[in-house]
Amino acid sequence: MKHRGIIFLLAGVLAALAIGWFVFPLALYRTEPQPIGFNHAVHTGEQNSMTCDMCHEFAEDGRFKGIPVVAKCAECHSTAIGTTDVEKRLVEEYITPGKEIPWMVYSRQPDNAYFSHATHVTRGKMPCEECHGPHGSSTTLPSFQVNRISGYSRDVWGRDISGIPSEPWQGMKMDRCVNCHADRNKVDGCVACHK
Amino acid sequence: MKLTRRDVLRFAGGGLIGTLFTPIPWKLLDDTAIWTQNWAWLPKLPRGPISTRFSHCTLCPAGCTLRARCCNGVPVGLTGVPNLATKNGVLCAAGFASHHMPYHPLRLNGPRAYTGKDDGSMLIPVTMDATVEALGRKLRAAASATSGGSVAILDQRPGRALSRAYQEFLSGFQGGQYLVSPSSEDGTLRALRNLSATQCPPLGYDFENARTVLSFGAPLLDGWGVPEQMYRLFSDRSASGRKLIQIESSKSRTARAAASWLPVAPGTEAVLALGLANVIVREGLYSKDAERRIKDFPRYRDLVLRYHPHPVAALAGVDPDVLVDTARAIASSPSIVVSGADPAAGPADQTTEILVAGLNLLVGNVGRKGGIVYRRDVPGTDGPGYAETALHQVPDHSIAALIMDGMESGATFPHSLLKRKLVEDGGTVVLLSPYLSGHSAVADYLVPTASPWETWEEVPAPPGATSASFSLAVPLLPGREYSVDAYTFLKSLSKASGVNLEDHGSGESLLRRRAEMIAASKRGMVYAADGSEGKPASSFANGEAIWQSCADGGTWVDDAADASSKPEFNILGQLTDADLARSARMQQAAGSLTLVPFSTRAALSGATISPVMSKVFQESDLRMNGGTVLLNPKTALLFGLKNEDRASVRTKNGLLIARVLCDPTVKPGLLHAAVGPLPNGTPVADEEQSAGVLSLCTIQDDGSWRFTEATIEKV
Amino acid sequence: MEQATEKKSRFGMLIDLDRCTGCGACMISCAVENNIAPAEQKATTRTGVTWIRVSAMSNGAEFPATDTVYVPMPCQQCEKDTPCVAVCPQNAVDVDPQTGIVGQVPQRCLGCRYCMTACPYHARYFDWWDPRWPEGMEQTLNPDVAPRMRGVAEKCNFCHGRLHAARTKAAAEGRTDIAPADYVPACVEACPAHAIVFGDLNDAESEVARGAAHPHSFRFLVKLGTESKVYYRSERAWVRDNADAFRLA
Repeated sequence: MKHRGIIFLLAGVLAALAIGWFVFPLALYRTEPQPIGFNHAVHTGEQNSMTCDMCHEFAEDGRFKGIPVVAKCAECHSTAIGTTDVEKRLVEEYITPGKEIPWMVYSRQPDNAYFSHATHVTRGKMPCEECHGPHGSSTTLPSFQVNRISGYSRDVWGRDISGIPSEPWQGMKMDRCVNCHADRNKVDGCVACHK
Repeated sequence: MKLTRRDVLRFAGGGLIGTLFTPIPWKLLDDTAIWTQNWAWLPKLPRGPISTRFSHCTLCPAGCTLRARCCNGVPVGLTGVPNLATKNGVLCAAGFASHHMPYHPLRLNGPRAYTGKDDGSMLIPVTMDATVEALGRKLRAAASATSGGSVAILDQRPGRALSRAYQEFLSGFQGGQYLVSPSSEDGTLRALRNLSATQCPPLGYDFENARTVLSFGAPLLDGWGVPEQMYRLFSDRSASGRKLIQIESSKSRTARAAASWLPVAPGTEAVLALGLANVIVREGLYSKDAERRIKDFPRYRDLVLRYHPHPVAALAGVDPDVLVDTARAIASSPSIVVSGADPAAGPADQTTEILVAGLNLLVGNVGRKGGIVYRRDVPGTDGPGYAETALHQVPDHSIAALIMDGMESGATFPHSLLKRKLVEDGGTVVLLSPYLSGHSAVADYLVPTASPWETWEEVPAPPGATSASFSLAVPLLPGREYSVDAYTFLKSLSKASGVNLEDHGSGESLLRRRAEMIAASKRGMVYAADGSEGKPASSFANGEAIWQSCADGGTWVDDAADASSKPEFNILGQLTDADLARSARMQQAAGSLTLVPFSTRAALSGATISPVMSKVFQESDLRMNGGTVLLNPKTALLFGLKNEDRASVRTKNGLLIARVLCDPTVKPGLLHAAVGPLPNGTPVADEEQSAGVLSLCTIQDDGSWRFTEATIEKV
Repeated sequence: MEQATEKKSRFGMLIDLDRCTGCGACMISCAVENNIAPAEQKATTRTGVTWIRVSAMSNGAEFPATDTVYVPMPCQQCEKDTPCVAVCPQNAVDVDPQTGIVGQVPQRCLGCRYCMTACPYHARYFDWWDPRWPEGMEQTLNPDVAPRMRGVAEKCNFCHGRLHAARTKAAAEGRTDIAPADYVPACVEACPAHAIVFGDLNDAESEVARGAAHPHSFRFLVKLGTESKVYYRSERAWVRDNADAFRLA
């Protein structure tokens, strides 16, 4: 056969591509269930029309509090609203005993990264969606995938395994910060963002 | 078609090429890099809500106000809260890491007992009930006439409501003795009260208004009194015309900051005090009022007139002109003459203490603004109370059972001193402490109490304060199930030993009761930790309101005491001519050195400070680990020693292998030997022996151990 | 997005050696603030990590004429030809253009220790051990500073965790510049003798800029031309005379 060599070579390439693009991500990430379901859309939708910062608050000193503590949920959900299972579990397992929900955070950065929400959101007036996407209108939580090597969430790299964001808000790695700062002529040293 | 080896290789080669166009190598590289930058075994930072709480430090008697920055309610950083009204709130090195103490590796996690008294004795876990029962029996036996001794409690933090409970407990035993540490911080005040012929109210040093402070070795700028006040008043030489004169053999941290420094020959302090008195008497600079109040003034005058400044200066190794100037300085304006030393050096000898106290009386400092002023006790404890004796001043072999409360922090003592005070067969010693501290080695029973930050603790006025005060150390962390509340323990002991003790509930209710008494007395002011203006205690509705204010970091400070009291004194009452003759005794033999132990307050052993104190003790030479000796380079040369040598230090009490460091600030002929923590991770047994240097010290008849003749040899 | 126009600062320090009593409070507050782990058993003065180290300096005279000052030595924050920056093969250290802080990113370091050799002030430290706290004590770590792993160099960054906090606070209040009172390094705050002054050297009115201009103020090893931003001050002439050839005990 004339092209026998090329065929085997191409077969190897194709096999590698298939593995690399489709099997590798499955092997690299481990999916972990969030402790309980959450529907952002119900909160931010027309009926309640809450804004992000009503729950994702800032502390007095400007620190971003991140995911609200269960006491914040209890402000409205001290007793079950509605009859869904999730609601029942929320009240019984967390709110009544006052136990914090062990959320897994999609955007959790390494300990040596410093990011100030106040600088970007309060002073810089950036909309939350610019980094977090339309998370606030989701009805279910996306699956939480842990990188088996680095231990960080898949969302830090971006959902797309290529590292090329399919949507502008995908990925939260350092180059994303650096590019955005460079676009705005912000010149910084390392300590500006590393703690 | 037959698969050949070449096909497989081609396939693999293709795979390899293909892989380069997949994320595999690049993503793995990236993830591995991230992994190596954040090793999984590195501690993860706490995340959570940040809050602030005020509290007080309990590591030493100064009791500084502090602000704790908390993450998830756990303190993660401390800051001193300077407060001019309470003269408080500058943290020392140890204080900055006091929030590490609940996690100390030397924590005692259950009651322990030694199996015997010999060297092979082992520490074994026991149950609390068994401990209480055994102790009850021992206390009853100790109190019986046949034991030859009595029951005693050594309270390392006197002045608390708990201290009062200890005194009540002891009153149930025949000859029960309430003891305090041989701390030198209030040595002069204690000596003054001992000299009084009539009732003398409690005393305090009015440093704020003093013009001249003459310190006989008191390390005012190195862990003495309240750091906030000491630094504010004395760290700037040029400030406010206040003059600090330091009498100290070596050029210590305090001596170098003082306006003048007299490098006295060790052991000649008493003679120097007489020389100073001589100038004051001869030049007629003494207070006429004092002349009336010193009942044995003629005898005292005759004595001091024998000590002319020139021979005294020659003996003490100081400039006679400086001596005369010093005498004039303390006589010409409100002054304080204070004796002291760091905790390891212990109290001055009795003669020096008396003569230093005498100088204060001579120039009329006692009861004068800017001198030594009267104060009152905390409400509810006023009036004739219980006798309080320093451990080194009780008769030898008079203690059959001893309960020691609190870890050594502001004070320590050689274990040989304790052995001398215990009955001949050793008696029984119980140590209440959260840690296996340096004193654990002498205890028969160890009872774990709560660590700082885990329980309400009272912070009474520091030694030498001008007024009584009350503040609280706040529990920010849950207590451990194995730790015992000292008051509850005392109650169970009283039950087991058949002694009557009024039940006030728990340690916390004891403190709340004190707040009630303060409210009822309507005395003093309450100052909030935020530095806002104080509010009179009388404006608080009840004790609960005062408690609340103190629980938020506030401090109650008593009003000034009535200054009209005129107690009378006998300076030489207890001094014999033999004492005076001995006071110039430290003329060392040729070829020997004078060993003087030294330490840093609050850092007397590895168990009383955070392991991070290694920064100053182990990872730099700023402070000395236990077993380091400092020598003047000339002295070192004389003994053939150089920096970092190992040498054996020998006294008549034993031998110690020490690390030698040359230090030009040490007076030639002196051997400064460090009592302090050992390197982190040192086995517990060695840590317990960290008072090693103190075991070399000779205990004098008066219980002091400051100077010991020693030799040193390179090993 | 609105263009952030931050004021350019040159943060510096002035340490009064006459006030310093060598108590060590700065060293411990620094270790607590910056999550520097307690020493391992084998750690010594050579292998320990102290971002600010206080050492005694003697006038060399014999007793009793002997005199000592204690010299707290944090990173001197060299501005020109910064020796550590010049030699780092990893770009793990740079001079921050906004603040003048010589910022070390230990996670980027490969551990060659060239910077430690280059630093004329011996103000750089190497992690010979992984950071280890006794069990439970890791709860007391400062959440604002990342712990470093074994095998990297680290040093004083002028408490960059506090700079971050001050910036966040300023941003939350809508300010572009931080309030000087919000950014005080731990050692400055800790010093019981108020021997350390900190501030912006670009601000001529700041206490540190005015103090640095005092005739009794000096910097160590000026002859090297590193333009360090940590000034010292002493009335003692021998201390100032030693500034270009100092030896610490």
